[in-house]
Amino acid sequence: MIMRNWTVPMEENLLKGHVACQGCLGALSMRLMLKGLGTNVAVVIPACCWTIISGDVLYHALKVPVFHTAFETAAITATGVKAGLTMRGKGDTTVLAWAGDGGTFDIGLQAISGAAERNEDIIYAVYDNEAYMNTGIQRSSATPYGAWTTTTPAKRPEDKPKKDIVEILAAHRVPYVATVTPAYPEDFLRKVEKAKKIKGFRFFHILSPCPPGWKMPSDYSVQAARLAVQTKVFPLLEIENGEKYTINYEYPKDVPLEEYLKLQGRFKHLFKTPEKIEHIKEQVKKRWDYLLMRHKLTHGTTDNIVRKVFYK
Amino acid sequence: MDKGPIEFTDKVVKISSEKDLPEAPISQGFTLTNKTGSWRNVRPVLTEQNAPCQNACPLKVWVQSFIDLLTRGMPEKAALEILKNNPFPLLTRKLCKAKCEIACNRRKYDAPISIRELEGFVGNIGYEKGIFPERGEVLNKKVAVLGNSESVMSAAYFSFLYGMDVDLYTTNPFEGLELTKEEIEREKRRLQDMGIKIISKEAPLDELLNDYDAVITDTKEVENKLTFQTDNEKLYVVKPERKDFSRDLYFGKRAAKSVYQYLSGEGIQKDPPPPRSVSFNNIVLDYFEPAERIDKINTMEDAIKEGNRCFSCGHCNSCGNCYVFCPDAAISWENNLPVINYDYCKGCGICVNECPRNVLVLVPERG
Amino acid sequence: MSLKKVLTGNHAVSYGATSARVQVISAYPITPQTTIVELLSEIVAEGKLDAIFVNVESEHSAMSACIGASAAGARAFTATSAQGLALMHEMLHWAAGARLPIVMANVNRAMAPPWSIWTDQNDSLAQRDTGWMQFYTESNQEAYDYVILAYKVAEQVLLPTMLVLDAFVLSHTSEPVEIYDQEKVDEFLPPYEPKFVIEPGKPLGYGALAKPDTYMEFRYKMQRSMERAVKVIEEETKKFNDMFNRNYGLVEPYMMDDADYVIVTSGAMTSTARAAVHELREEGNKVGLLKMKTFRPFPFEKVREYLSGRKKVAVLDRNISFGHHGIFYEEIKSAMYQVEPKVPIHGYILGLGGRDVTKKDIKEIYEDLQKREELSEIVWKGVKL
Repeated sequence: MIMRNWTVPMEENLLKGHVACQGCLGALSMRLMLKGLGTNVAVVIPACCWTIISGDVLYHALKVPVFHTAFETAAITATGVKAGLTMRGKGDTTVLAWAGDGGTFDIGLQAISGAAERNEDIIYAVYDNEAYMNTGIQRSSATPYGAWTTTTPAKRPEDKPKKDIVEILAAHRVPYVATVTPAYPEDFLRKVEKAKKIKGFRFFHILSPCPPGWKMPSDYSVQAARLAVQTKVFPLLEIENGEKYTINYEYPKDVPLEEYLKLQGRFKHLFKTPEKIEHIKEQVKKRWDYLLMRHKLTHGTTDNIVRKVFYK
Repeated sequence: MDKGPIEFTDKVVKISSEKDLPEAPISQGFTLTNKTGSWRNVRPVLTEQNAPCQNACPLKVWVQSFIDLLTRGMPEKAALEILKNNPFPLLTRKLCKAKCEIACNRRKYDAPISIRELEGFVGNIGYEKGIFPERGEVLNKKVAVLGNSESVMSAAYFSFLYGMDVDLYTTNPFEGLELTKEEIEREKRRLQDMGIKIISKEAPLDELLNDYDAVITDTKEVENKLTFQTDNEKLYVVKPERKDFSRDLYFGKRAAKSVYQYLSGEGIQKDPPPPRSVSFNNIVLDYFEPAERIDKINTMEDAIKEGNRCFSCGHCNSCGNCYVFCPDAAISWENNLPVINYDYCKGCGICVNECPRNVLVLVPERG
Repeated sequence: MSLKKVLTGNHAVSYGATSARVQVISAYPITPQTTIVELLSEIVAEGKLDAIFVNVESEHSAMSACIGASAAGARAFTATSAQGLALMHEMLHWAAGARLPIVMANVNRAMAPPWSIWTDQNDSLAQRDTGWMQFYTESNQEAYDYVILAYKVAEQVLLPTMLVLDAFVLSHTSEPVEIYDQEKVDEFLPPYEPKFVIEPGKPLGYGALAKPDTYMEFRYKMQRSMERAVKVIEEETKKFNDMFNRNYGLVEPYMMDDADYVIVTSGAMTSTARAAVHELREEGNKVGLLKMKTFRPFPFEKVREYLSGRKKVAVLDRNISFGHHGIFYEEIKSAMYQVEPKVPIHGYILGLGGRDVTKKDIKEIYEDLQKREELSEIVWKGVKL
């Protein structure tokens, strides 16, 4: 026995001393991603929290190379790196584009669409903390309905639903789209290992709670990610070739959405407007029902969805 | 060009002339140079805490630990852990009131762990292997233990473990209990096997007090239930209450301890109250699957299955959550246990929040 | 054996990239650049060039793909014009700041609105401060040659390079172009060996956050490389001239020896100016021509060498920095500021948006130059207002 609860690679490719905030799941997500990918990897990072996390220009926080690029260019710069490495006989290298939600849902979407449509042989991962956290918590199109940010103040909170990035990618018919969150590390790693073997454009949507941005204590971030899955706010899925849908997991008990919301100060004001909470619940249910329908279409049943308390 | 494997060091990069700085903005060192531990105002600490079962047990059997050892695949070590505190696990399997199971945190989740069964099953491994816990340093003191009750049998057992030479004067051991002859014989044999001399006759107390450094007996009325020492500092009296078998065994254990404290010159002290145990609210339930309780344990498979249900309250059983969830890679895994690197740990508290059993706790940083 | 082909300026560039054995090409269509990459994609498809061609969804991405490829150690190429170049602007800084020796052809085209597809230099000159070297070519042969030369220089000084050719005047006009033996080109331009590279086994961060205590030093080094580039260009051009029988330089003088008056030009209008100067000389005028081949790094010494002691200088700009003047004019004037005795320099704006620059225009400018006494800030040539 090494660990009672987990079977994860002990390989550590994230170096200590990176300067992520306390409790940053963006840092943990990278740690897990590189546990899965190993070191035959080149990473491209656009403007995002990781621009800072990786440390001063003269220092480096990973055991793999990182090329920093402009905000909207992660997907295409990664494409270029892959092409360059291929021409130099290193085409077996996994090239990972690692971006935040702003760089993915908003400013980087064009380049992502281009790379996805061309089925470039890269992994694109968005660590989604649901706002522009690096610039000080401004709303992005990944900010969920009802959330406070510095540009959607509590008096006029975010009034649009979160952009459904996963469906956008699925519509490109890319070979692999997955949602993961570090609260379920083995699910995360399983999908990384699966994606590693696939050729073409692979997309990871990583829910990555941010303690300062979500206005919660730093020790809650894994719990928040777990609750997002338990309350179905963030279902764990895989979509293959844009058509084969798999819901990986459903928490076997009903967890009220409020459990997730109340953990985070960014939703505090919502408790004064219960109708808005009801609205979110409806949206969550609608999305879940749609996914169930797609899962059933793929598998002929929904009985094969894992329903355990302790899902890894 | 290649200089062999890369060394990841905390070397500080010094740029003092034009040639030190590359044309391109590339790194020259690693973030290991940032000792982010300085950010911390609280510190996670790996602790060992009491479980409710343990506190409820008159004998203070370290249940979490023996179950941990059992489920790690170390049944003999698990048996020894039991035998350190429980002299007769096969008898407790039959006679104990199992207050541990009433206290068990898992009761509030689905059903308590079958602790009494597990303890008996695992204890039996010790019987079969003929193993005993390590004996304390030999004191070269002779203790006479006189009587037939379970309290006295327990006193003999623990006196021996404390390092004293024990002569057990008994004519009808475990008298008055619902035990078979075989069961009694088996326990008698074990006491002999461990090194206790059994003398099957009665002896006058005065004589024993003369011949031995101390005497424990159940032939008189108990005066002092805290330490069992009488006015005669060499004489210790225990008598079973027959309300709770394990409590009666505890009397013997406590008397043996008093004798040890007396003879070693340590001085007799009362037992302090046990520290507060981990409460149900401290358990992170998301890490536990509901599972049916196995009432009767007859196979190792059952034992491990039931053992795996244990929350292991307050005792690190190497679940690995703290290692897996550390965003700062500041927890390494050494000899199946977490080691926190305080040079880098930022004190976010995720490991504490995700520790399912309250082993990791946050304490304020000094200064 | 070298081979003479009749090629448009654009196709000359495509052949230049092929001869330079570029490894990654990424581009987005824009008139009048498009035929460069069309031909390149054909050449790649036919297997005549071992390269990956990435068809991107914008020029911004075309430059980003080149940046990625170059960072991974490959020789990268793209081409664009006007709006496309403007869209790349952010990434031009990136390529230069990351010290990536990318080569790009920019077909000079006027900026919109109003829409124009014809030549002027405002697109490329607006990228003056991005840290790219810029070469302005006059002929299709130069366009071909300077792709090769650009890589040779760029890969030594680790700065990206833009070669510029005029829309239609060069891009879509055919001229005979000598295509060199591949072996000879390979001898001049060996495979790219990157100094800084993103590849597995080399865990480094490339371009992360520099605090105020280091940022400036990287910029200092860029400027030092630009300064060094002047010498490298001179040396490499000399080697190139010897090897391929050319007569290139940082700047190129024509009939300058005893010239009292000098006309300074860049790009394709130089040919027209040359013909005009030739005729003016035949008419007994002591006039010469200076072609600005290299704009960045700015050839201070050469400009001073050729313009010092002249009676008057006319700088012709097919561009304008609104609120100031023609950009070559500004720069040449500032380069000459400390030269004694002072040389009067006059600036002429002409040919914007593809308006023809004729021999007549050049001669009229020469006439005007002789007459002009006081320094006028700006002279427009040919405005119909």
